[in-house]
Amino acid sequence: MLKKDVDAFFLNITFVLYVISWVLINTFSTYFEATKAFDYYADSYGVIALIGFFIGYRTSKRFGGIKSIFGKAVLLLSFGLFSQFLGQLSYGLYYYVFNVENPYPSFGDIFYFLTIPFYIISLVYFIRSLGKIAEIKLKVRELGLSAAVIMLFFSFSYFMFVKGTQFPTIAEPITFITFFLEVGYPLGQTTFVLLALLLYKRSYNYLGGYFRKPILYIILALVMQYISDTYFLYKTYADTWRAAGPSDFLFVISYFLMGYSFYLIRQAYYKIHE
Amino acid sequence: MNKSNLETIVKEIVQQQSDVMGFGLAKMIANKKANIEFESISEITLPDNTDPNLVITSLIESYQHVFGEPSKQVCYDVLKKYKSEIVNVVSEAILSKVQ
Repeated sequence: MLKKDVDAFFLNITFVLYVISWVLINTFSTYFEATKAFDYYADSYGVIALIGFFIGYRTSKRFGGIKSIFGKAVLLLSFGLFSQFLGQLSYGLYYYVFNVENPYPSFGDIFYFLTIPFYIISLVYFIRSLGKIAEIKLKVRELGLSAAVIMLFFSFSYFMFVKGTQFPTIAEPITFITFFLEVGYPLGQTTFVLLALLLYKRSYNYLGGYFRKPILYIILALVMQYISDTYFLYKTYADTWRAAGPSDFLFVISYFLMGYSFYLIRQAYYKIHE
Repeated sequence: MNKSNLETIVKEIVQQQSDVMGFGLAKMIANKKANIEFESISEITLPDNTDPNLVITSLIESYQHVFGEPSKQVCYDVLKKYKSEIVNVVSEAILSKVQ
């Protein structure tokens, strides 16, 4: 029997509420359009990331926090989730204070972008927890497959977002920040999803024990984060993004998956203790 | 193998596991699963009649059971440094992994 945790209970309840709300808002959209329901939804679901952060932070302390490789990995992932919450809070402030909907790019993107290095460094630590990197032997076929996957992801990100990006010129200057984000987001996210796939390859047959399932959920959450960010950027560039749309729903799922994986890690810890 | 060498090996295995998964978890596994009681790594002492093969095998299996192959490999990496001490003590299965 899984030990009940109050924060995990709130995570599950909040997730269910946001799923139900999303379905209701979009099913009866003509009714809700007259209200602020779409905006409230879009500006509040970050609370799932906040709850996930608390679960991750508390869980990392079980593993010694920054004193162990695994503890650092979990802590950095939870900081990445917290950055997502801060990013959404910032976007929300922009809307309610300056009346700007989807203010991309803005200072909120500092927090959103910080998620990328947090996730990347965390994944490096997770991979390190599987053994010394130098001793992780890669077979030739594996290397070939990895190279093919890398090319696929980079090509996708490039043609979707980087190609056609306007480089700053004297004649048509665009802010450095805009240029940095338009290149940095897709390439940074590609990097962490590729590391996640590497972690998956290593952990599926190699990890075993109580932590295989939670690690697999983390990988799933990271892939979901990539899909959510990619879809958001696509809709934003196409000027078809809307509050409480499919983009927000994808983020709800990815935040929940990450928080849930922290919960599974903690449950694994409790099982060992029994 | 003398008791002192065995305790050194056990301490190093627990320390290396602590570096990966945290001291709390590493200690819990050693205490509960491998029946090695201690509060801090420096305090690890084993009874005089301890069977070295049993202790080492028990540690390896306990950590592997929790964390899988990575923890097993951590144990082997430690044992590689003490090959000459363990050669007549541990099983052939373990010896083959540390040669």
